Amino acid sequence: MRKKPAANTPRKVEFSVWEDETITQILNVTLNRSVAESSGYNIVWLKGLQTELAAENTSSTGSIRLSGEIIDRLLISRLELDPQAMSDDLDYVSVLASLPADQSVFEYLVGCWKRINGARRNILGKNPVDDTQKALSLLDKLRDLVISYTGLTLQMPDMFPQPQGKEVGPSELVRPLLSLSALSAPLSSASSDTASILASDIETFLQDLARRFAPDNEIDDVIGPVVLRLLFHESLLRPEGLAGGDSSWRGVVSGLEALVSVKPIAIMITRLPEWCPPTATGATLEKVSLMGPLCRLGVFSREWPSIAQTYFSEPTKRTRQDVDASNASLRGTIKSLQNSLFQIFNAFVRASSESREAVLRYFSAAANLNVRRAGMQVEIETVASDSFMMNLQCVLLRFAEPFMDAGYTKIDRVDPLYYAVSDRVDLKEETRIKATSEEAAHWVEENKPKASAPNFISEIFYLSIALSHYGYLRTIQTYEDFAKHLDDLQRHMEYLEGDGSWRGSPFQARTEHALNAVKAEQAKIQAHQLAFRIQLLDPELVFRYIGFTNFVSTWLIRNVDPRKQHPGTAVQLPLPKDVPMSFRVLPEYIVEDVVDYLLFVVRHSPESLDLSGKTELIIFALTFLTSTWYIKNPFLKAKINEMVFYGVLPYGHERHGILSGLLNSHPMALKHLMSALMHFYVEVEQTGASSQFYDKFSERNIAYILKAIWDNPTHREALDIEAKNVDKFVRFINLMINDVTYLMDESLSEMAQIRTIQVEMRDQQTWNAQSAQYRRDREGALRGLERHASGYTTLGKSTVELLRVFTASTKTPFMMPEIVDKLAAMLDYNLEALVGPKCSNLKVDDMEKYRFRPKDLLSDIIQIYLNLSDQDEFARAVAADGRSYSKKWFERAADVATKNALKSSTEVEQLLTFINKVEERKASLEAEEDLGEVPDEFLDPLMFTVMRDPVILPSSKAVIDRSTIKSHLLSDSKDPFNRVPMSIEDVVPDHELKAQIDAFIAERRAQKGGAISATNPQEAMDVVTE
Amino acid sequence: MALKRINKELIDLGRDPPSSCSAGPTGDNMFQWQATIMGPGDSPYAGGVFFLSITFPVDYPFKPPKVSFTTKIYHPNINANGSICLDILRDQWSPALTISKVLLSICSMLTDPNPDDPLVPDIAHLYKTDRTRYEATAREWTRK
Repeated sequence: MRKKPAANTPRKVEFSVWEDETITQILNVTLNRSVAESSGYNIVWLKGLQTELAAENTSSTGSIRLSGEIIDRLLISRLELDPQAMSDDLDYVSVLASLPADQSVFEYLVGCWKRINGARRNILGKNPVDDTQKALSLLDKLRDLVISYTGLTLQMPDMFPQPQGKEVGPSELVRPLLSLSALSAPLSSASSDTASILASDIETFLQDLARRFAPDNEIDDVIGPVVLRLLFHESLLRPEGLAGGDSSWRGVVSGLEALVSVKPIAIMITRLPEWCPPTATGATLEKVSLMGPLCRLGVFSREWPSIAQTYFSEPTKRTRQDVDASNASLRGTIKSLQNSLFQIFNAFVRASSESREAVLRYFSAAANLNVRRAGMQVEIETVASDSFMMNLQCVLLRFAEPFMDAGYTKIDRVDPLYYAVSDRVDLKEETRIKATSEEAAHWVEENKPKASAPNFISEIFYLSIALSHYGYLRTIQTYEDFAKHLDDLQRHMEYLEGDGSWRGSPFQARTEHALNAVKAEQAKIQAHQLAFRIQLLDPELVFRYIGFTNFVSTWLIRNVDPRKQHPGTAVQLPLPKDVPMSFRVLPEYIVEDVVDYLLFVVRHSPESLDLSGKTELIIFALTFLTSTWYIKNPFLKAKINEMVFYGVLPYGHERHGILSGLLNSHPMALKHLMSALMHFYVEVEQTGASSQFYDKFSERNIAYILKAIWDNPTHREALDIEAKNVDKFVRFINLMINDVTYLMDESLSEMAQIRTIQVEMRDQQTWNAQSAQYRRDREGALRGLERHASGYTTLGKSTVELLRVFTASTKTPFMMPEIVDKLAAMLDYNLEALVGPKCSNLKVDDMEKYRFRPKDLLSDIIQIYLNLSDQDEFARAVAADGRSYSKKWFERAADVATKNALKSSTEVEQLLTFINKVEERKASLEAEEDLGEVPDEFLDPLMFTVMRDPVILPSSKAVIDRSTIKSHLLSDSKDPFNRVPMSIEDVVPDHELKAQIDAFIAERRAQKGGAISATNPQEAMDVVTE
Repeated sequence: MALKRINKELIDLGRDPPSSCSAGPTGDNMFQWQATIMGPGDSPYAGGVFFLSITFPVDYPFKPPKVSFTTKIYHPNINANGSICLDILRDQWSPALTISKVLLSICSMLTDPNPDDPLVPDIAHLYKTDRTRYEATAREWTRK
């Protein structure tokens, strides 16, 4: 051993002297009574050990120097001393009496450990000893010894005498961990206590423990119990949760942060059986798993009712500022929690491949155990809480951030075969986008051998999707349900209020009581809403999740892009007819959640899309609306449409909605939107998914979208191109006419019914004479009508408008034989309803309440007549309408239009000219039609008109006029006589019958003496030769 | 548009009336009819005369007629407003069907309700669980 020459440095102490002094100081023991005495027995005299050593070493007498060789015996002797013990030895009594009575073994050892560190600093600084190497290795040895015994006392606190009534063992380490958080530490404990671990020490202390016990996983037993006590600490279980005044939960967070900053400890934590207990259920995972209690802290009021109570009770009395302040403060808190959670999980992920796997396993369990959260009827006590799922979701989002760059450069790192190789995400019960479970199983089998183990990006990508499906998206659903519940309550309240006749009656007390109960329930739900909004509509989270949604939607499109270049080179629409199996087998919720989330944002926080996401939303909508065959579920497609619809609704100061601007400027929108909308409109009818009329219309709300883009010439050009595909376009306008017919019929008849009840109620005397039951029934009926009246009138009005703008620009398709009669009949019918004898039935009180604007409607309908007034075929069809047409109504309409300045005098003139033309046609038609008795076989079996172009249907073999079957097929693609599917191409012309009919007509006309050909020879020719 | 067709149906009804049903225009409006159904003998509606209103939509016969009871009736598929839940009046309509066939279907629905597609769930439930009470109530209502 090399000795340093003591040259120009101050005098150095000889090692053996330093060794004796240092051990004495660190362990606070001596084998020399006088040393103890001179310290007032502060230094502990180990008399027993002294005797023992003296006996062993007969050669030496006198005092024994303390050296590295006997430190373990010194320490054991010290630890074995029990201040409570009795001793007959008088020498010893003073030793025992001076022992710090309430110092635990752990505290003593921590004191030693701190003094070791002090000694080391001293050596490294002042270097007072002549053999630094030797000194340092003594200190190492001491440290190892002290740490070993620290571990021992944490595991087996009863091995050595401990003070009575003191909590010893793991909790002795938990306490300093909890006090790390500046916020949760009481100021008094910040004193320089020699026996407690200070914040500055804890990391070194944990590292020392980890270094000593990491081999052979001894650390599990040493620190494992500490982790358990920390993570299941009662401060996490208090009902006030995050809102607790002392923020004691922060102590747990800081303690855990300290623990996981030491790699072996981080690894150890994920190895503990409590990390993710196999017996955990959806409901219990957050309570029995290590990270559960911390991860279930949150603001959602179903599991944390006190948040809503504290911050949002009596919601109607709270000012906006008050709510904003609560939002800001709670959002700050939750963000800080989630940020820490991410740092902690990140430490686990980075600690080792095993711990990373454990983290993924944990997320996977959270998703798979909660499949039922996505069900229609969720029993909340059987599944995880909203807060738990939301926090895990936020952690995953942070993991996803590094691969979601704006340029989508890492998008191909997401493995499309993930579901084939990994069973991390359980899809057993999930519907696929467009595949049966057999097809999905087959796909897995086929692709499993090809695929490699999934990378971390894929794991995070797919787990995030799953977790948000069972988490965030489900919570959004719950939030939306609150609004529905409030609506129901409001209606119930109106019902209870009734006509107010209960006031002053014997029922007053009872009714008031019931009303108050409803009000209380309303307040409770409003408080829930406010609490949910804190998290769900936190701008930062919304921004992050829009980013993730963009990534998913872009990835989906890239998946179906045959060139796999989207978004670098935008996908070409429509997509190819063949839908790749890798897309079909994806769980439907991938698409659904993109749509549901964007729908949520468009409705509740449209301004969030201003930052990013609008373009992706529109491209996504266009992709799947132009290529609807990629998705099987009709409701899902409808929701895509709905998303665009909400995007054009006004909000705040933005009159045209968040999307109108982009819908009118993005090249893909300009190119595809028109055709996408028409395609979708027709498809709603074909899929037959909505047998309920109202559903169908809520899916067909494209009228609003069209309004937003109508003034754009590029979109108009696109429409002209669409109109060139006559078959498809005729289908479209046929449905549009059907819709107008139905909606106008419904809304006008509802107005009439509303008016009947209103009139009844106006006559106070008769009304009050009715029985209470009758009045309640009628009021109920009125409310029922009012509930959807404005929906029908608004939708009816916009569809009429649509028809008006369409007929202005493109007329030919409206003149097709299968359309024109129907259109004319519908217009005549509505004109009669608006100005005919029953029009006064529509004069409801407060028309605006029902958005009923009969004058606007009339103006639009007149305009449609005007738009088509130059079409001879249209005049003929109006004349041929045997139901509602009357010159009178047109004259009345002209009057109303003039009086109310709905139309200019030129336009009114034009309308009257058109009517004269119709009247002429009517006269000639009547003459033409008068064929006398017609043989039954010449008559169309559905319309009972003379067939002009008889055809034979493919399966029923029925003979029918071509125009009749064409009309029928527009809305129903089945043979009307036996419901066998068919198309117009399948019919066979019945030439023989046609010849007979032609001959018959010619003969009857000839009998009448050619009167018709004299008035209009060309037309007579047409009829005959048609 | 459909005047000839409706006329034809009216003539056929007069020529070959279905048993226990009748129908025809209420006034000079050919598109607004009234119908009557005699409660079928093998049903709790026996002895009752039920009135129905029939409105032909402007796109009849491509769309179904609107048929509803104006007489109150206790039945799982008919509600308090008289609305009828019958597939051929909704998505199973075919232009080859006629008012006569519709009325016959309603008659048979009176004898055999369809409790699996109810319009009034309470009545459907009673029909399934306590037939005697259902029949008693239906009889009671019919008598009123």
